[in-house]
Amino acid sequence: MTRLRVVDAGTVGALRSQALWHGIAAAMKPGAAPVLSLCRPGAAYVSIGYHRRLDEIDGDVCRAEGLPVIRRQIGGGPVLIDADQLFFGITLPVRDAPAGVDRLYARLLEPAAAAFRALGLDARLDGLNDIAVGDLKISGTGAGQIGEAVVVVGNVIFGFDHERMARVLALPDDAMRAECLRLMRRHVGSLADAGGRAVSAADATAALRDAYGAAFGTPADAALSAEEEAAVARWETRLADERWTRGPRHGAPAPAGRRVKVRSDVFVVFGEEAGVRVLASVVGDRIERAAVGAPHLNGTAAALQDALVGPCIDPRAVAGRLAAFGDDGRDVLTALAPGLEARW
Amino acid sequence: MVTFDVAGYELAADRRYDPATHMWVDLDDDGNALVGLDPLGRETSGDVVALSLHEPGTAVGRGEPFGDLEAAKFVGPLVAPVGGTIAACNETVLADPGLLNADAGTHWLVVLAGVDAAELDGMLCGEAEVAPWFAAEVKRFRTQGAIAE
Repeated sequence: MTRLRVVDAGTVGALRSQALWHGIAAAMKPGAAPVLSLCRPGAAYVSIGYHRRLDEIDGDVCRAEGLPVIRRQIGGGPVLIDADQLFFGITLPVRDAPAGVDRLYARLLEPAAAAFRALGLDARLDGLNDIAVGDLKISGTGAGQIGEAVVVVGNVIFGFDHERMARVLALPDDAMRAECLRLMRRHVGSLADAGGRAVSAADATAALRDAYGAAFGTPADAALSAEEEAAVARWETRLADERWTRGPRHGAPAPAGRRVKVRSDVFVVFGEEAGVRVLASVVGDRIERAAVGAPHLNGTAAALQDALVGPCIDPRAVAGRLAAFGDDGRDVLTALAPGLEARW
Repeated sequence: MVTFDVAGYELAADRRYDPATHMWVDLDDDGNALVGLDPLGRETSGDVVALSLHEPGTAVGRGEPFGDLEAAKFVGPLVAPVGGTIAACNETVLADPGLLNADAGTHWLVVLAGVDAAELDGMLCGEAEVAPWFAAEVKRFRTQGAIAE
């Protein structure tokens, strides 16, 4: 039977908690055994996805709170990492990985969902790549190809500081921050929040090891090879490099509006057009809550807000509800369109 | 643009296709290679949300990355089907990567100068060469469940 190498690095520094799985992937050769890597960050930091803009993070807040910003080579948005989380990463040669991103996540994340179920939680894959219990995301993930390997990395959340997460995001105003916080509290939480028994890091590690072992081969404890150690060290250097942190799209024009994803199909959108500021919270296929503001709108703002609430999967439906408001309705739609495009 | 249909996918007839990378190459009048994703390369990537390309002036070899694509929080390399020096990046697609989701076939990503003609010879060209390979790839990906039936 195939062997699964299990590299448990224990509690490590911020840089190493990211460099570990980058380095394992970078050193992996075709035909190599898959690797499950595990570690706990010993210090808090903000991790940002490969393509995301650094100005999505409030640098002043991060500096004031001593939070380094570390860019990862996998996707997704900014996320607060701290000692109340456990990272798991499954890495395998790209030739052994399923073709197609949907199948990749299903194959590489279902064992993590199974591990949570073994811990007594009614966990499932939510959307493509979140793991949730009911409405609560208990593990966020990202993935990428690094060298000749594919890696999917996720976190197990033992405790989550929603206020701090909301604080480190650069947002246009306090209303959006409050809305992000409201939805994060409702949709992102710890294993304990999800109603499970008290789960320790050791419990979670054991469950992940068993579940990934069942899916990928007999688990065998392993230390990093010399080649992996060298690759991890190279990644530590790269991840600490200011040019790397700036990102590949540094200097590109900022997109219109602002969009913060909270969980699969849950996000907050802000946009502005012709002086009309619009904030909308999207849950599933609906705009759940909206705020519209502009000095010239007077009493119309409340009516526009009411009209925005409702199904949003079809742009014609949103446009139809705003049609009666003429230019004001068109401004609201134009303001929101960039943020809602992901649902269109 | 003259196209032909293979298993429901529209392919431009004037391109070379690389089976190893699922990239197409379109040579301009100066012999520079416009490089883009073929429809299967795009579809198996998922819905593209972000794109980065190496700077013009960067030399890339065949099989080496010239940029990265992100879809569904997966970041994967864009692999050059031929070697050359990046002469230009498509700023329109960089600004709006979602254009690739609607039509990857018409949006080039980079222009490579100084390509090796011998590397181009290894690519498939014309419906008679491309259609059997592409049909087999569609079947393979559908069997794997990587693309929809």
